[in-house]
Amino acid sequence: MRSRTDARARRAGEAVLRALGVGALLLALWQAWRPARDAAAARDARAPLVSADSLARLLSDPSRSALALELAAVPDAERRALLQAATHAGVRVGWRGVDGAPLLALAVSAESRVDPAGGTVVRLAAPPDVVVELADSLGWIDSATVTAPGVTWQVPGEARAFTVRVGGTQAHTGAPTRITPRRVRLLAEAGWDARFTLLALEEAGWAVDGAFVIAPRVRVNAGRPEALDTARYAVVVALDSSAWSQAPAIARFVREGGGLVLLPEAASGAPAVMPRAGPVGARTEGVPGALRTAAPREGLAFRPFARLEPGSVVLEQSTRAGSPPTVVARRVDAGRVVQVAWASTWEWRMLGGDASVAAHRDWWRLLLQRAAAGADPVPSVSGAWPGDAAPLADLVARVGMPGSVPDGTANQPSTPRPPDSRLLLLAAAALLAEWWSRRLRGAR
Amino acid sequence: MPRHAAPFVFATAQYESGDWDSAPSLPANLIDSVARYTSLPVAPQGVSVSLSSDDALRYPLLFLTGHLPVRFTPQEGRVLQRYVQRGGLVFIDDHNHDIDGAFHKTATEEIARLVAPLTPLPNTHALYSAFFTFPDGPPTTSHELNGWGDNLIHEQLLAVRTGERISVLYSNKDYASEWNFHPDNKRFLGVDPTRFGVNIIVYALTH
Repeated sequence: MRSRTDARARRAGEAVLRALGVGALLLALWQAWRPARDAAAARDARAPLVSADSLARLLSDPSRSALALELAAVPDAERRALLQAATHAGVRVGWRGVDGAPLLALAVSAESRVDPAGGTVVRLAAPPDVVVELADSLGWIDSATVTAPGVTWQVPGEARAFTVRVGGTQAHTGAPTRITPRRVRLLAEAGWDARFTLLALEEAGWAVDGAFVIAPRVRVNAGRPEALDTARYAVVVALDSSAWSQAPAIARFVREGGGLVLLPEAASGAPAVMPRAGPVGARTEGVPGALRTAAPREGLAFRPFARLEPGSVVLEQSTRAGSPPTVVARRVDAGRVVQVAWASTWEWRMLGGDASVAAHRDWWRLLLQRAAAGADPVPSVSGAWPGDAAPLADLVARVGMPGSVPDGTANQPSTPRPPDSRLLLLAAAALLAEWWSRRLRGAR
Repeated sequence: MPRHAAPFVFATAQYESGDWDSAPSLPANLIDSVARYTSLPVAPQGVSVSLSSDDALRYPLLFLTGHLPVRFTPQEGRVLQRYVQRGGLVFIDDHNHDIDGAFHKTATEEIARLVAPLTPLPNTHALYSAFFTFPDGPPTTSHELNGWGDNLIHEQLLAVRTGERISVLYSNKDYASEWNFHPDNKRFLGVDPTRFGVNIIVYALTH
């Protein structure tokens, strides 16, 4: 009787073990394939993103299948990369601004100035009326209120990386490649315009080659004038009609990527082959006394543009009635033409106010920067494109558009998670014990 | 070919302390030479401009000479400093061709006080090849050779320079006497002595 009772108890135990093993197996499989929604995800939904460390902790939970973020500012590059990694690992990441407000869109670029003195041009696109700060590794440099179409800083000194800050959002540039400009060729008759243009360009650091007409077949050289070639010269400055005899060479130079600064006396009546931004009208004298005012160029003689060639871009305008353009740029094949309406600019330097020497020099420096071609247009971004140069665009590229915040009731994650090893161990032990018990009693 | 450059105007500086107009025929003579040897547009008459007026800044080359001691007034000093800082060129000639005369001593002191000390200009400077070539430096004047003054031939001019560019050119060779004659009389000369004056003007217009 006892043996029959023992045998029934043993078979009952084996049945329990079998049920336990199969149940553990089923539970492990269910855990691996269960829906993504869980208590932890629901608890953390819409939790603000505080730091990269906390984000890493949140994402270290293997059971997490969704993450909802409410952002006051665009996360930094490290956090954006973590979020992208999480999406690649199957976690559904959604985000939006606090209370649905849009995040600030910034885009910043930096390129070396084409200037012997070096320097960097930093350009920022941002919504209007936003106050932005410019900084480098040593700290704050400047602040500005954004106006359409953006903000441009001319930063002297060595080429380096910059940061633009607006509230908690930062955009970064890489350090642009330093450009070593080629020489300048000055074409002019001997005269005060030639002397003072040469003076301003040399003070600005440019190496200038000039050939000044003194008499028929007699030219006086400054520097070492050579044939026009983009390998030798960055810019040709044509002050007057003495440039006309070289108009075909100038046109070829510009088409091949050279820059041309054209003063009105060189543009007026020039051969048709001469690249221009437009024909010029009759000369009018400057406004008396204006050379010593805040708009000193109004005191210079002026030859207005009769019309502008298609594709011309107005860079400066007069304060006179109708705001006529005074500096106009135009692309001609690979090169650029910058045409000026002001004449006899030397008078500004000699007869202007106390700062006229520096102002005249800086104006000429800017004209040459505008005409000279820069380096190849390799964006100086920090990180992969768009990267830190446009942090909001980078966030969208990595994670997606705002507004798609997971609600926590979504379906299965796209990939199964590994089963719980403890349940598998329990199932294996139970089934092994059941099999061992059956074999000991001689059953199959 | 059309002309666009404004004509060059020869300007003589007036100053209060001396006989600034001691070489009245010199401007016409140099204007004649510029017109004769070059195609530069040049005004047929020179101007006299007060060194105490900002009008001096309209003429980026100023000629200054005299026999008497030079003491610039404060206003003349300010204009002279501004003139040089902005890129003008002042050509000063000692009408006495003295090495230690009153004009020389006072003018060089004033330039040192207001601008910078004058230093010898190398005879290889671009000034001597700006148009005509003067391989031996500044041409000798007849007044250096005829027993007047200090009986010395001054081998070099003096200058204040910024880099290689001349801001103040100083001569005690007495070009004011050498060039102070009616232009018609050039036909009686074997070599026109005003050719060096053309170099100074061309240098000022191109450097």
